[in-house]
Amino acid sequence: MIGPRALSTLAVVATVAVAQQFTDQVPVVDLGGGGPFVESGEVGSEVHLSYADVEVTDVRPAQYLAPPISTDLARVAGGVWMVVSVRLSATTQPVRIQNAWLVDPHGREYMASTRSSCALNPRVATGVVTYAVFCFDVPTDRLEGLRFRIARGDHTVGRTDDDDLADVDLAVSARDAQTWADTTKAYLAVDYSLEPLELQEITLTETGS
Amino acid sequence: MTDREVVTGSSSRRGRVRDFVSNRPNPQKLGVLGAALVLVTAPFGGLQSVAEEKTQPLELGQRIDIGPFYVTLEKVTQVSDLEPAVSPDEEGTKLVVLKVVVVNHSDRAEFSNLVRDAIGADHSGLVPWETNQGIPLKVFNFDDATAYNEYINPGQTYTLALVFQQDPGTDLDLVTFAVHGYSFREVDPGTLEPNTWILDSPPLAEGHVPIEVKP
Amino acid sequence: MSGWWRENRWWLPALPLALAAMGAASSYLVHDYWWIKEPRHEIASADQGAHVTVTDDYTDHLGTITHTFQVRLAAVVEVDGVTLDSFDADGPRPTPQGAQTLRVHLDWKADPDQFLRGCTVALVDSEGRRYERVDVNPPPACVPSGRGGPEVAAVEGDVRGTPEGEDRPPTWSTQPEFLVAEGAEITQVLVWWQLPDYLRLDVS
Repeated sequence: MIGPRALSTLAVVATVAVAQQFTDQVPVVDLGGGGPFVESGEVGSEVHLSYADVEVTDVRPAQYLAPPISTDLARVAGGVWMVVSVRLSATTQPVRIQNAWLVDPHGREYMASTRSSCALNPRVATGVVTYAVFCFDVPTDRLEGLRFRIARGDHTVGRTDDDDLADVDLAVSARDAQTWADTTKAYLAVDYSLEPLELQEITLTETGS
Repeated sequence: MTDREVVTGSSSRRGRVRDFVSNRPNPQKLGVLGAALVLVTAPFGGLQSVAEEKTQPLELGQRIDIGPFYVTLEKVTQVSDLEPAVSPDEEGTKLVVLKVVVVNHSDRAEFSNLVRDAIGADHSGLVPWETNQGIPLKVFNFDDATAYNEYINPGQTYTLALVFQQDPGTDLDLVTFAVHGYSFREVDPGTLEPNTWILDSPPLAEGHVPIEVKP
Repeated sequence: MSGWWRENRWWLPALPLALAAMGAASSYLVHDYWWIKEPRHEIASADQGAHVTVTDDYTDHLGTITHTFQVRLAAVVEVDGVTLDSFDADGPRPTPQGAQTLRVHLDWKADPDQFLRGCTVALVDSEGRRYERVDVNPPPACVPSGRGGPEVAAVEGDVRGTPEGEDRPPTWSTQPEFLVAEGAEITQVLVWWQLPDYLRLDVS
């Protein structure tokens, strides 16, 4: 009926077609081999990573964040600013943290803000505490259940794979989410330091029109 | 008895098919081969229809899905100065402000540059900024007059002011704007960079919109 | 089966060698991403108080040069207060709780034409932790401030040479400062220019 040559040609075409379907469904460009090793924790508890110890000490909402230069304009949140204070300490040698981000219960990720003047990629010293404050502009209806994540690899290009990552439940309840969404607080933005950082509430003066 | 020609050679079905094919004229053979090759691409998506690209006329207040964001051009204004956000490099040069509402309707944070780079203009009388001459538009957050150049988180909405410098002698009735869309590329085949947006042509919407002049 | 074994009696032992060669040929990434990322290759060492003469390679945009110098670890001393930013007019800050500030005294000797700028000095404690300087605008660790001597061709278009007025004296001292964990016992001072080569000075 169908000759052996035609049959083998058909077999090749069919195999390649099936393989194409497979590669369409499954992400094959994954040279890392695996995802990050997630170490979980909560506010006030220390999370131990191979390269650093991480502790979230405080979470609070804000509507405005003012940059260090007092004559510059304050930044208003598009949703609400989530201000996360962290203690970091490198375990064996200094490490630079590439990013911190928030994750909601649906797995959506919220990047730290550059315009906030808060920390972005702090350099963490060995054996001593580096204090850092990360700020995120999050929609007001996405606050409940947010988790804070931090890692030394660049998350945006998959460099957190096969490496330790800290995941901290910020314990934002439904009630918190409601009240935080309406906050009018304004703070002076802070970055990172070897000395303890305190969030200073400030009053803003309106300028221009 | 009738004389019948005895046909020697293949009488099997395969043989008859082979004879049939070999007896076809060459153009017909090539045609069939071409059709067969096209059909072979079917399992690989070769027969999917190409998306119809049609540029809509640009209108104020019209929400456009550029890919990573919904973008709505609310208003275009010409001013002499936009303090405290920005002033023209030289007095006399005008500033054109596009007030744009941007919504990240996706599940990933996307860079605000994608909005800036999606907007084009014609007959705009563009005067490049002294710093960053290659980028005609400066972007500010409408709500706090500060420069805006960062990730827009999923679900976030911002009202942005995109500002370019304009020659004061420009005929505003001739100015047209274009809003382009992006195609998502999961992996760049050259650099293996994940999740990039590639600017599309032609624009999704294009045309003239009224420009309000303020002193 | 013995026929197969006989046929392959040379190929079989050659197989592991071929695999090793293949591995080595693809291993350039190991060099770029691992070997040169840390101090892994000790080129010289000395005990505290002893001078050591070191010759090290340095590669800049124009090629590879060697530099030769002599260095001595004079002391590692605890001090009050830590400089977190040399540009801060307010001066040193109180040492944070849980930490101690240490100053390392190094005595140097080299010909004025030897390139020695841009080194890194690090401390290693008994637990193997490595500390680097925390000052965000630190003075040079290995050459005198403002008189660092020759510069290399760091990028295309650069030339090697000593900037005007920055000639280096034949001998000098530096005191790089470190913030380390309280109670940490420092056992080594490491000095390097280009990894993985480094020099080790033992603390007594």
